[in-house]
Order: sequence, then structure tokens, then C-alpha cells
Amino acid sequence: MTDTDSFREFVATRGLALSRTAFLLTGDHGQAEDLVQETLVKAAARWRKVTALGDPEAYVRKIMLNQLRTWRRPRRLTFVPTADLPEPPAREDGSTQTDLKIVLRHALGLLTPKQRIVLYLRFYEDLPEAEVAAQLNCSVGTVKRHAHDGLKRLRTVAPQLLEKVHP
Amino acid sequence: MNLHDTYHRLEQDARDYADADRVLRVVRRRRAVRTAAGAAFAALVIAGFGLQSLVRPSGDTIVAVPAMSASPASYPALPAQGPVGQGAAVYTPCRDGCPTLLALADGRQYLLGAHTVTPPGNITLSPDGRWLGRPTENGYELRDLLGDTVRRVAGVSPATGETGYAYGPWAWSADSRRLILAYHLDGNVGKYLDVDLETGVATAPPAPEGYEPVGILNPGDLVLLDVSQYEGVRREVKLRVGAVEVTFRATADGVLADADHGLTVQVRGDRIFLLEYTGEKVAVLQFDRKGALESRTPLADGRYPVGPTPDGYAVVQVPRDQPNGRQRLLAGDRVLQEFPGEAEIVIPGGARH
Repeated sequence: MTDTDSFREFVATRGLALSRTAFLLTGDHGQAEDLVQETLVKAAARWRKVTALGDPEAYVRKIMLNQLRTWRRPRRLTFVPTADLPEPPAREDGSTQTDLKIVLRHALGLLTPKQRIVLYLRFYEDLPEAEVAAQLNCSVGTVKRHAHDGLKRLRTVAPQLLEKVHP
Repeated sequence: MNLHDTYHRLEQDARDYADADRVLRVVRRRRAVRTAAGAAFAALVIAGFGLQSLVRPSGDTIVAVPAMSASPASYPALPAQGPVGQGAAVYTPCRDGCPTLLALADGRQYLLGAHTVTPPGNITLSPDGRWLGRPTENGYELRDLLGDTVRRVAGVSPATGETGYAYGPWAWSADSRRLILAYHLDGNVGKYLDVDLETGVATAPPAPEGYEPVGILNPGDLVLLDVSQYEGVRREVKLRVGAVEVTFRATADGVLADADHGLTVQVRGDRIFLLEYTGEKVAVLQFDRKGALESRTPLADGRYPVGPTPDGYAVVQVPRDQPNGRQRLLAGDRVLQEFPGEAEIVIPGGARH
């Protein structure tokens, strides 16, 4: 299998999972698409190294988190010709979007990238603080601070999201 | 229901954004661009005819945007040509699935498209509301809303000469006569163009490699930023103002950039504005061209910086209940305009910087 074939197979099998991560890290379809695209571009450019490490998805997810942390998005304007832009309607899942989903989606836009990453790892992936710190290559104290600040901001803009949640 | 459960419900709304073919095309293109380093930045085509006199900024205009409909059919399409009136804002009432609208200073609204690019970063209005800038399939178009002039900038790849690449609005001069456009290839900004709207002539601004134009000072001096300063924690930033390097410093414990806050530089008339961050608090610093601090304006919680206007530095106040509330665009405590709570907004003079 060539590198290109291997990369295509990875995207076909793990693309949706990466897309979900990107959406939960941004709360925005456009930003999530940009984040997935840029992440995969970086991964594809060194695909042989990515696969040599044995767990390409973990490596690609690390690229995604680093990309989000260092993203100066205004300098990465979305290149989409107007004529190509029809945005498909959100997929219906049988139960229409709840108020809480909408609230979370918009609240994510009010958090800093690091706060979004820490809250995602803590409350979506349920990782303990020490593991979050290891993934982000920072101290547990830093994780605590970002979690605290993120939850504090959520309490202000969307208190209904924080039932039963403690930093 | 708590945050954990809500995350898991929200993930069901994600779409599949991964496109291997598109990714591989980008990788090939970037490699090609790297190998073509040094290639001349290709020309562009400016077409235009006729000019109207500039209108002055209206400091008294308040446009209260009425109740919103997400249906494009609710709004008349922007006439294909001819004068329509001074622009007050471009916005889309919501992030997904809403049309993009041009609001005029007299309160009328026109449909720019049912599904356009996100207005911020792509669509622009000149500071005086005269020129409407939009990306097109072949480049960028600047339309005189008060006359018949249309300036078209064709996107041309510096590496291959291939057309179809995109420009984004970067910085306006305060008199609305010049606009810096940034040429971006697959999201990465590469080159810049300085468009003179009076004459229709576009030239490459004299920005050395590694420098980005961040504004045009009166009477036309370019302000340049060494882009390496986007990285790391910054308590001071050096800008090249005309031929002089000037240092702009944060106050007290504030920083101009750190890991959570990007560097923001904006220029209007004779003033240079930077955002200062102290923890989660944001303040707007106003400097003169020599780097002397003239004012520091802390932003109240719930208010977010937008940019300088003739009425002062504008901020937006986002309602707690965004779907049903109203965003207010303010300068000081004065309401300049109101928008739907979830609107994405471009005000006159709105560009990257």
C-alpha cells in the first residue's frame, strides 16, 4: 500500500471521528472544517512518520490540538468561492437540537482555545487532570486553571450547562 | 443533563469535514509554491469606470436592524448595478443557514446571497460606507454603492498563473481611498495588494518578506508588522511606521499577546490601536504614530472589541440569550447599531486589521 493509499484509508475510516472532535473543539462547522483540513494537511505532509509511530489517530489528534492552540485563524481565511458555498442543512438525528446543545455550541465560541481543549478532554473524554496535562505537555496546575476559567465563563453565559459539574 | 451529556449530544451534529482528495491537493500545491519561491507575484486586472465624490462618514447614523427572517426571499436582491445608498453594515443573522445582508444607512436592507462566505474576513465596507467588497469566483470585487464604478481584482496564482484564488480585505485607509487586500492560497496568506480605488490601480505594497501591512496612516504611510511577533507572549510590539520603527508597549501587568490571545493591531486616521489583555480582561490602547499612549479603555464584561470608527472604538455587546436577544454595537455607551443576537457583522472599515 502506498503512503497515499494509506492516508486515504485513514481519512475514510477515521475522518468522521476527527470531524466530531473538531466540531466539539470549535462549536462551529466552518471552523471545524478548517481545523480538520489544516490538521490533515499537516499529517499528510509527514504521513510516513505519522504511521511509523504506530498510532496515527493519536498523532493526528495531537496535531489537531496543537493546531487549535496556536491558531491565528484570522490569518487563515477560509478560501471558498461564493458559488461553492451552499451549506447543507444539519443532519436531523430524530430528536431536534435541544436548547442545551445550542447553548453549548455558542458558549464554546466564547472560550479561549485552551479552555475549549481542556473542557473537551475533561468532560467529553473524561480524562483525569494528570492525563490532560500529559497530552498538552503542561502542568496539572495549568490544566486546573484553564478548567476553572472555562467553567467560570460557562457559568456566566450558560449556567444551565453546569449542573453537577465541578472543576 | 450536564456538560458531559451535552457534549455527547452535540457531537451528533458534526458533519464529516475530512476530504482526503482536497487535503492531498493542498499538500501538492504547497509543495509547488515552496519550490516556486521567488516567482514574481502575478498581475491583476482592475476594471472600472466613472467615479463619484466621496461621502463623509456619518457619525449620527443609527441603524436598528428590524426583526430578522432567515429566509432569503424576505429581502430584495442587491440591484446588479447603479447607486443604491451608503452602506452601514454587512451581516448574516446567524452562523449557519442564514442569508447575508447589506444594511444601508437609511435602514433599507438588500440580500447579498443566500449562502455566501462568512462576512467577517471576507466581505468588507469602506469606512465611509461607499465601497462594498466581496470575493468572487475569480478574485475580488469592489462596488461603488453610490455610483456605477466596479473595481475587479483577478486572483492569480504567483506560482502557476492559474486564476481562481482568493483575496481577503486586510486594511482600509481612513479616507476610504485605499484598501489592502491579502492574497490567500488555501488559507495561508501570501502576498498583499494595495488597491487605489480612485484610480483603479493596484500595486504590491513595499512590505519586506516577513512583514505584514496592518494599516494605512494619514496621509498614506503604511504600517508594517514583523509577523514573527505573532508568536509568544508580547509586552511590547514594534511596528514599522513609514520608515521609522516604533515600539508600542502594554501597561502595568497587561500583555499584547499570549497563548490565549492573539495580537491585534488596528489603524485609523492618525491613531494606532492595540488590544491589551490582563487575565481575561481586555482593554483598548490608543497610541499616536510615535508610540505615545493616548488612552486606555477597559472593556466591560460581555463586550467584545470590533474596531475604530468615526464615533470612537466600537465594541459589540452580546446578549446572554443570543437566539432571542439583540447584539448592540456601541462606541462608549452610545448605541451605533443593533443586530440579531447571533449575527456575524462587518461594520464600515471592517477588515482583518
